[in-house]
Amino acid sequence: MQIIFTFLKAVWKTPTGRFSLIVLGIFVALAIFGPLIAPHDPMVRNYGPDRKLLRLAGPSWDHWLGTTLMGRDIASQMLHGARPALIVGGLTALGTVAIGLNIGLIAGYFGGRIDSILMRITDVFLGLPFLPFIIVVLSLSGRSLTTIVIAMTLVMWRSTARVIRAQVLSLREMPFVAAARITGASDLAILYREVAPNVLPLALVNTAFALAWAIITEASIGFLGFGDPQSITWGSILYDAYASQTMYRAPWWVVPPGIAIMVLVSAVYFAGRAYEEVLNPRLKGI
Amino acid sequence: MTILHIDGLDLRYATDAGPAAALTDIRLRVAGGEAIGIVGESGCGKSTLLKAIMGVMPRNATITGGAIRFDGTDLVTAGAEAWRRARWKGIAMIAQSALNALNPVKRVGAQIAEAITAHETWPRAEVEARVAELLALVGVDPGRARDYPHQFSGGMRQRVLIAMALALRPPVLLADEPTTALDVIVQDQIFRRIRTLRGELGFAMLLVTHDLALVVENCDRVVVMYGGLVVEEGTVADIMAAPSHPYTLGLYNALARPGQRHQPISIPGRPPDLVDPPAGCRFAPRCPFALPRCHTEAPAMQVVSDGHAARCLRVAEMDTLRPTAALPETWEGPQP
Repeated sequence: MQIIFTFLKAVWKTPTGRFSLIVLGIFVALAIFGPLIAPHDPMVRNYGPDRKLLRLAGPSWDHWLGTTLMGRDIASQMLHGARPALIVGGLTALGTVAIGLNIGLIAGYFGGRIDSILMRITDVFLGLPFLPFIIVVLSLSGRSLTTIVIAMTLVMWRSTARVIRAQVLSLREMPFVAAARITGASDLAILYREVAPNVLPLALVNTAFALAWAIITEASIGFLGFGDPQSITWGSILYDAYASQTMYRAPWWVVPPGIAIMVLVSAVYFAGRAYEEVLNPRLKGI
Repeated sequence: MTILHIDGLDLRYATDAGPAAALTDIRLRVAGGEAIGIVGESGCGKSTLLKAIMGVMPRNATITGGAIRFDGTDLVTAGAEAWRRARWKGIAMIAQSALNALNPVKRVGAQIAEAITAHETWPRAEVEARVAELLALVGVDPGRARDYPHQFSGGMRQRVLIAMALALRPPVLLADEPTTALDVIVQDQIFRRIRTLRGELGFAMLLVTHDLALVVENCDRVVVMYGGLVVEEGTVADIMAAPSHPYTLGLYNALARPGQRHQPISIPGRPPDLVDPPAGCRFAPRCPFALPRCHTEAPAMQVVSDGHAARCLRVAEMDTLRPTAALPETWEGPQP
C-alpha cells in the first residue's frame, strides 16, 4: 500500500505526471459515478417529439453526443463504458504483474533447473500470437469480462516475468543478499523481504504499461466484436458504429470512444513514464 | 574453554581445471572471549575459512573432511537447518563490503530487526527496544533507525553492521576485513569501538585481514595462512618477537612502520595454484631460504615454543635466518 502512495507522490512531482494523474482521476470518477449521472438508459431507443426513432441525431441539449443508428444515447453509452475499461484493464494489469513478478523472482533467484523450466514455459507463452490467442480463448470459453481478463493475463505476464528475472539475476549477487544469508534468513525470506522490495519500482512501471496495453487490447477485442455482449464498452461502441457503416456520416458516434481510449491510455502511459523517469533520470528528455 | 573448534577441516572448490584444495587440514581452537587474527594475502583461504564456519560456502565448494565444532556440536554433520540456526545466535559475522551489505530500499532499523526476527519470536516492542539499544551501543543515534542506508556515511553503515552482528549476543563474532572500504581514521574508530564492545560483552572474535598491524592492535593470537594451510600460529607477542616461518617474515617486512627508512619489502611471486599445489612446502617456490628438500617434503607444524608453531623445515635455524630476511636483497636476488 505504501509503495502505491510513494508511486503517486513521485508521479505527482512532475508536470506530465500530475496532468496524467488528474486525467486518470477523472476517468476513475467516471467509472464509479458514470452510470449514475448518465442522462439516459444506454440500451433504450430514444424517440423524437414526432414519435419517430431518433436515428443518428447530432449532438443536442438532450443527447449531448447524439444518438446511434438505433437511436441510443451515445453520451450515456460512453459514461457506462468507463467502468469495464478500467476494471478489465486494472484486473489484467494486476494479474499480469502478480504472475510475472513471482515467476521472475523465483526463476531469477533460484536459477539452475527451476530457472530453465520457468523460462521455457515463458518462452512458450512468448511464442503465442497476442490477439489471435485471446480471440481463440474467448471463442472457446465464452465471452465475459472474466474470460477477457484471464485471456489477456495469459499472454501478458510473459514479458513482465522476463524483465523482473533479468533484474533479479543482478540483485541476487548483491552483497546485501549474501549478508542476509549469513544472518540466517531463509531463501523465501531473502526472496520476498530483501530482493522483492528492490524490484517493486520496476514492477510498478510494468503495471502501468500493462494497464495501458490492457485497456487498448480490451477496446480492440470489443471493436473486433469479441467483447462481452452483456456490457457496453468503448470498443463495442466503435464496433456498432463500424458495423452500421455510418462512421463517416456520424462522426459524433466514433470520435468520443476513440478520444476516450486515447486519452485514458496516454494518461496511464505518461504516469508510468513519469515514474520511470524518477527511477532513471537519464530517460529525461528522450 | 574452547567455544569453537575447527578440527582438521578440508574444503575443496570444484573448478574447471579440477578440484582446488582451498583449505587443507585447518586446526584452530577458539577460546571464549579470545581474539584471533587470521592473516595472509588474497587467495590464501582466509575468507573461505570464515564462509565455511558460517556455512555459506559458494555452490562449488564442498567440505571433504574435518569438523567445525561449535559448543560441542559438529555443524558439518548437524545438517543445514541446525547450521542456519547456529548462524547469528551462536556465530555472527560482520560482512566484508560495508558499503553494500545493507539493503538500499529498507530502513536501517528494520534490517537490524530482521536479523533478530529470523531467529527469535520477540514481541515487536521488545525488538524495537533492542534495535535502539544496539544502535546506541555502536554509537549511532537510535533516532536514525528510520533512515535509509544511503543517508548514512560509510563508517556509520559499518557500525550498523556491527550492531546487526551483535543483535543476538553471539559468543563468537567473525569479522572479514571489516574496514577495507573505509579510510584509516574511520578504521581506527571502528576498531576502537570493537575493542570496547569486546571488553563489555566478552565475545570471541576471528578477525580476517591482510593488515598485520590491525592484528597486533586487536588480537591475542595470530594464525598465518598460506595456500590454504596454517603456516604459523602463536600469540601476538610470540609472533612479533620471533616470527618463525619465512612467509610470516615476508609479511612482517611488508609492513610499513613509522621512521622506517627503506620501502616495505614485498614477497615476489604469487600464491600457489591450489588445483596443483607444489609437492613439498607450498611456500618453497617463493621462499628465499628454500633447500632442495623443501621442494619435495611437505613440512608438518613444528613447535617453536609453547603455543607457538610454524610449518617450516628450517624452524630450528630461524634465529640465524631472521636477520637475513630483514634485508631487501634477500627477497630480490636469485633465490638460494
